[in-house]
Amino acid sequence: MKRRKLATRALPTVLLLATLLASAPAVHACGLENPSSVNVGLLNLAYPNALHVRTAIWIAQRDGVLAPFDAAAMVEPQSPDFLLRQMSLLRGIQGQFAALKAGMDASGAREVPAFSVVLLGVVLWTRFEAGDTGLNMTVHAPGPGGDDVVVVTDAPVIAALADGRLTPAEARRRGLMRTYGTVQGVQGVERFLDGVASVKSAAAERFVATMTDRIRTD
Amino acid sequence: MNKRRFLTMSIAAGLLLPAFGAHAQDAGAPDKAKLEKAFPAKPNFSPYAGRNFPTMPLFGDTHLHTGFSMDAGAFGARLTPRDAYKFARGEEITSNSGQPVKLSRPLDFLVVADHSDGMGFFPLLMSGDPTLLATPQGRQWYDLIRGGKGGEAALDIIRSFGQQKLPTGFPLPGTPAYRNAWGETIKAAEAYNEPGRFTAFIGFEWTSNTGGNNLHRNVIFRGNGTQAALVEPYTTLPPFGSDNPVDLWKYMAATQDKTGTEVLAIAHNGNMSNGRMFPMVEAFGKKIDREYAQNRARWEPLYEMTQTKGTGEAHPFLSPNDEFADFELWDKGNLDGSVPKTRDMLEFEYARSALKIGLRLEDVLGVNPYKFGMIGSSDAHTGLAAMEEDNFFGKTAPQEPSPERMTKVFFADPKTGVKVMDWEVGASGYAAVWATENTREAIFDAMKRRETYATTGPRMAVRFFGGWDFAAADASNRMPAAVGYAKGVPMGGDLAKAPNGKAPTFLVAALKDAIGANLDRIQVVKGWVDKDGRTQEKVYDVVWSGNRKPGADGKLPPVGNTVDVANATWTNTIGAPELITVWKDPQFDPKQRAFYYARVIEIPTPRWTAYDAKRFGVKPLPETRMVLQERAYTAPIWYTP
Repeated sequence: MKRRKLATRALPTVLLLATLLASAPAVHACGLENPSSVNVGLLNLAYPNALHVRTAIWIAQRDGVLAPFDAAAMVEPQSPDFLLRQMSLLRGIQGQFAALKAGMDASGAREVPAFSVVLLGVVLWTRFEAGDTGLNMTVHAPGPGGDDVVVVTDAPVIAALADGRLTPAEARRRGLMRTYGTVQGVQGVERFLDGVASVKSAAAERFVATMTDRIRTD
Repeated sequence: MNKRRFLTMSIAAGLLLPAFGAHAQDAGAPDKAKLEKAFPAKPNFSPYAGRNFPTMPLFGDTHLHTGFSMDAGAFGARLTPRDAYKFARGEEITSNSGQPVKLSRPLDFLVVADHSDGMGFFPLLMSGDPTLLATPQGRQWYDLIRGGKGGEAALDIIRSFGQQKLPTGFPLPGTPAYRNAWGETIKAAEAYNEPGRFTAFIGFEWTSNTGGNNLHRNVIFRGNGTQAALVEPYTTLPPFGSDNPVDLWKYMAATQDKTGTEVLAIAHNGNMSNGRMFPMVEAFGKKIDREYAQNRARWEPLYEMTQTKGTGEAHPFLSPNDEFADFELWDKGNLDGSVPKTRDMLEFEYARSALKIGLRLEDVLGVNPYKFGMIGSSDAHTGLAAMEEDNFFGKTAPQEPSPERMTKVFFADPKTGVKVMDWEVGASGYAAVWATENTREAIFDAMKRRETYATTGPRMAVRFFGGWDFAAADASNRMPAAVGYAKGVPMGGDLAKAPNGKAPTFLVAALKDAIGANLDRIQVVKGWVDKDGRTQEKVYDVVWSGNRKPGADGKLPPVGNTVDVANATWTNTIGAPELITVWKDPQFDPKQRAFYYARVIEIPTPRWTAYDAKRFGVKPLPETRMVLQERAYTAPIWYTP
């Protein structure tokens, strides 16, 4: 109570912002707990024009490049089944990333710089780092590593990449995915991802099928 | 002599005879008065030559935020003041979310009014400012934001600000960083100000918000950049500033002394002040006295009564007989949602009620503190003054067009139950100003004399004159302004001491927006103090479209509705393109203070939500409003016995 009073007296210009945050815990591991506009908004400053991805996505949805927008999938944080729905969403995303990772491993991942993918809608971070036996993947990471290349995109794009309906190059061309980092890092990650797209492996397809079945039975 | 020659000679004789006669009668110097009587002044052939009154309304926005505002930046606004001016004057730009955007037609003026507290902070931080990043705090915020934890960073910034434990380089008044942000704001206005074509005002928002109760004011400079650069914006946090409007007025007085130019302040969103915007008894622990009334009237000639966070003309609880009072209301709580609304607060929040309180206070104090004209503006935090229903770019960057904004929560406080959905944000409004030319000075002066009106978006032209001698025939005049200024005072003006046996008459005229909807009706809203000292109000339908007849209850039947919600369109097959009449107050008591203002109502048209539903193919939530009747509200004309 005291903190709130202090905050509202102290910085009225961000009152609305404080309102958005007031209902959530002070520390958020990621947007899955608090998918507030502030997290997304500040990403637009940290990664210039990251919000352009969101616009590119609805245009792609409108044009049939991506699956249509599903308003019913949007659940407000105050909803009783919010966490349940978010967990289900997370499982789906994990499955899609796992499928992508299978393709990445198959294409040889030793040389790729570490990179992190952030999904705009839920501000969910997934980190990839080359390891001895392939890529190490951490879904729901606390954030990007210090020197990571950052890929900004969203769940519908990951879904389309995972099932091979879209290539990373096409996603970038359409603005569905933007890459941030050093020139060398960005080139390295983009080259790597483009290589993955061309080897949509049987292993990846099997993985998708497995994960899909698992999600359905959950 | 033929007939033609006779006629010629007769005319010549006629022309010469008076001259000879005059010469014969007056051997001395000509008498000026007699000469003027002999040759009475005739108007020019061109009725438009020599006019000295405002001839067209100028439309603009006095309240627009860019990425320089802390909250706008936190929401992802990247557009700068320069972008904002470019857009307002009609250029196509790219929005914060990467969409090409352009107004249907340029605005005439704009005030970029970024929050004075923390001005320019986020662009500074995210540019990697070495001074800020050299501090552990600055580095931590930077890293948190880059890690997608902007919310966490924002909370820490709020805490740090409250405790005044801010890192070196934070833009506080007096610091180089702050002067730089203010300097950029000024430079942008100077660069885009083009007298005669587009006016770029210099301004800022003073954002008093103690306890979450909105007492915000936008401060506008009449003068130029050199003058504005002599001061810094006033903030709310001690020791640099204060959250008390009385202190803001002191700053304004000092600013005028220092800069040699004038400033004015425009309050907004009384609906989120929880009963504090228009106090009647006390404010900030001090009794409302004559000095308060004088200062408020002096510094705050206008009130922004419609914007994205609701329209605040009237409330159904206060005006149960006004069927148009329930319009785009935000009446759930204060600005941060920490305290829900209660009915006892409403009287001190809405414009009509404030005008009535002003009359009562004038009775007691001899000065009316709430003698304000109306304007609308956007309060958009996007750098985009895009308040057209079919071209609405939201209040914040995440609310720029996308399928999500039809169903998303804008903000909610589960503790208090205050919740606002994105769809409840209004595509409103603009300020209309009757200025003699499109310059800073002329527009500012028109604002000072309150010759303004608010619109919820459309650009209808509205005239409103009050006097004692308007007659029905004046409504047939195709130049209502000529007769209006000749026989009365315009909106924002005063009538005093009624001539014996006379009641005030009003000439009111409205012309539809050239690309907008027809008009349903014009109403005159009257407020007064009765003989028992109580305030009263009444809404009169004074002219309307079609052949409708008021019912037994005195109410005019609705105009109808042609809106095709599914296709987000309508037809101008109902309503009227223009309405004009002369109205006389039928219940006038010359001993009672009163005010009168006009409300112009359009026929129903699609709300922005209807355009979104159509364009994105999204099903609206059941309670979503899809149709509205846009409107304009003129500044009042006051009667003082």
